Amino acid sequence: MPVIRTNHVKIVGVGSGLPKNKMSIYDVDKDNYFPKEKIDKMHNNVGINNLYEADINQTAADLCYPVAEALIEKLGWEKDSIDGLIFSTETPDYTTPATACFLQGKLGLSTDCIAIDITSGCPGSINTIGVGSQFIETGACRRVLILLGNTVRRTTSKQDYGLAYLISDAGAAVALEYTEEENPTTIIMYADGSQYEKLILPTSGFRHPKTPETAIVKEDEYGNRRSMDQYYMDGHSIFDFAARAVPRILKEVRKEHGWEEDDVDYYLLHQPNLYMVNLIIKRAKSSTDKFPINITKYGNTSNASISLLMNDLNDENKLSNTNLVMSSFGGGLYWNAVATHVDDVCCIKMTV
Amino acid sequence: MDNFIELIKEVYDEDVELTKDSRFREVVEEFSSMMGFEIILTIEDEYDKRLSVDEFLACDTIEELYNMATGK
Repeated sequence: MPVIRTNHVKIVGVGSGLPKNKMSIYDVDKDNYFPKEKIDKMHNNVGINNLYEADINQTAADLCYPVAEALIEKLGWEKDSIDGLIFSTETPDYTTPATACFLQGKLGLSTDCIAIDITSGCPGSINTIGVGSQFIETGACRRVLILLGNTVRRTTSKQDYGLAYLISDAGAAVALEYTEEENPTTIIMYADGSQYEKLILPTSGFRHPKTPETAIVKEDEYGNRRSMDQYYMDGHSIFDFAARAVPRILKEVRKEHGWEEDDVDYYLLHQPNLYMVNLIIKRAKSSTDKFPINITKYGNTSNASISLLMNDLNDENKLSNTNLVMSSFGGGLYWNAVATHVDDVCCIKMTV
Repeated sequence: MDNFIELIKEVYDEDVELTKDSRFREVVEEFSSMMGFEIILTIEDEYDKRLSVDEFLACDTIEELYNMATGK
């Protein structure tokens, strides 16, 4: 089991940004490809009410940048004190250079700064904490800014029932800092690349270049219509994977951290859909009160979902002196979890 | 069989009448594929039997599910 342990890293800030374009799921497809009854079913079973969509010229980096600026200012961090920047996305500005470098420059950070991209959708929220924490624990960095964003809606077919009515665009930021006093943190990160095709944007790289043929829209056996230039998710396989893997990793990280069930104040799960979240809660055999849910408010915001959960907890004054277990999962396949204590987290939620 | 029926009832999240002859997909108005997966996982947890999707799709009634779960 790949377990990362750090003792001198703490989460000191969390920000999230939702695009101004908010839509009801009943307004997703003006052509009404799917009958209203089917949208009702999505509303009732999967718990989605509203979705957020970036402007056509707004990238994931654009969603993250204002959140980063606002969080840096609220934290009172000098720009040249930030010596690590990690950007996680599956919709980068460019394949080269790394969008982290673009953001480092735009934010005006020092060149004494590690700046790397981590290609990841939903699981990026914890994969980045795993990597960034080690930059601090090894002494390379004192302050690491993690930026998380995606604009998946742009490359999702409106006639793909399993995605178009689930996914929201969003950006987020997490600030990690060295702490002299001990703050034990345990992180577990898994991957199963044998299932890489289960959630994929087929023509997003060099393996399958875009051609006129890849743009042809085809209908699948369930009536969804998409091209190879648009996201594909094997919902059944992802559901099956998450329902098995996530309850297991929640228990693993808690035990590796030396916590009993009563020691955990909240479990913050990535929010793929309400039914899946509820099933994971049921299978985790824990109190439902420990699992805040935001999918009904924001949709599936990919790697920003856990930051939004933290912001919502903070709004309810529940993010002070708190023991958290957080877990994200999805395309890769990746699944990961972190157990840590947080106190006095600087929070920002904004429209971007 | 009684225990099995109680287990499957928990999947529905609402009070339902369930007997061995019930067609489990027709017990509620909005039976979804996610509920189907939950039934498969429940059987796997409690009966240590991993039903394939094809085996699950071949079942229509609670009794057929029970027989598949218990290898009868």
